Amino acid sequence: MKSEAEVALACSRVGEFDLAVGAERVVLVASWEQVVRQERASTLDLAALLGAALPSTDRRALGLSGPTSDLWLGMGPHVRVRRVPLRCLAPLPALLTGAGLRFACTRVLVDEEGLCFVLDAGALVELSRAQHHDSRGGRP
Amino acid sequence: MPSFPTCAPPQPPHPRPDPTAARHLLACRVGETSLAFPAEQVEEILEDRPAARVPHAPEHIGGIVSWGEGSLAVVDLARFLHLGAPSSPGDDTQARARIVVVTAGGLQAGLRCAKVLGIVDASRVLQVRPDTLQGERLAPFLRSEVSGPDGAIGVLDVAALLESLRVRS
Repeated sequence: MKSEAEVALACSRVGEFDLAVGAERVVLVASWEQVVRQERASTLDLAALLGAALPSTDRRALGLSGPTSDLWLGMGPHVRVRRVPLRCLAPLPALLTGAGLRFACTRVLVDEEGLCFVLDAGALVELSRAQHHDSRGGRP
Repeated sequence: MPSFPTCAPPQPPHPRPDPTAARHLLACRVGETSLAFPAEQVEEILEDRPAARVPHAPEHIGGIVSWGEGSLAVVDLARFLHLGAPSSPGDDTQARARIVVVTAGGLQAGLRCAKVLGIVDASRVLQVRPDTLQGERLAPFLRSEVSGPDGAIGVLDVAALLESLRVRS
């Protein structure tokens, strides 16, 4: 498990997005609706999804745990796996850094399939924790 | 107690040329208004293209597109400045729509314009304080005005504009 793993959210096609674990160079595809629903629910079950999608040799890619809690990222059935060339990562435009912080994104990935948002897994964990905290009326 | 003569600072005549004004301007149509950017702050002019939507971004952020080896935030300038219907992919005017890439104050953006009107040689026209162009949202970003063939062209303060466009967390 690598807490520094990254998740990339791509929009190569309308209504469909890629999810990538950048540090492990694995990409998943999921529908945007699923991402939003899961984000709102603060339940991000990526590990379960990768477990179903990845060959056993790639199980090391299941690296989404934060310093204080695990991140569970749920995506649904539309999943594919591909390599992410890290040289294709670029910073999110400075104009959008404020928006990016709201969904744990500071970088984008640009490759032959288009452009995608790169999400930081550690930041996702913290966002999830904050959402749980808020949903409990501010109680930790 | 000695009294000192008061000396009010001389008031500049109106209109007056701005000695710091840009020499060349890129004039564009934004909604129903003509606006211009100092040419030295224009990086590139791109054909308009669909942009990926950015979650949690305000409506005037048209999205993000790949540009060079990185990405570029695209702004619907007409929507941000309340200047009439924004151009968007699929409009009849799409063929003329452009994304003007500007840089100022360490920020960069692609400003979606309905049409590029051309280069204005600012040394041949008088730049005056904004007077003709109106608009509550537009006024804070107007540096000056120049006369164009179809009326006044507002010269934008690109640095102030980009700073205002920055999405806060």
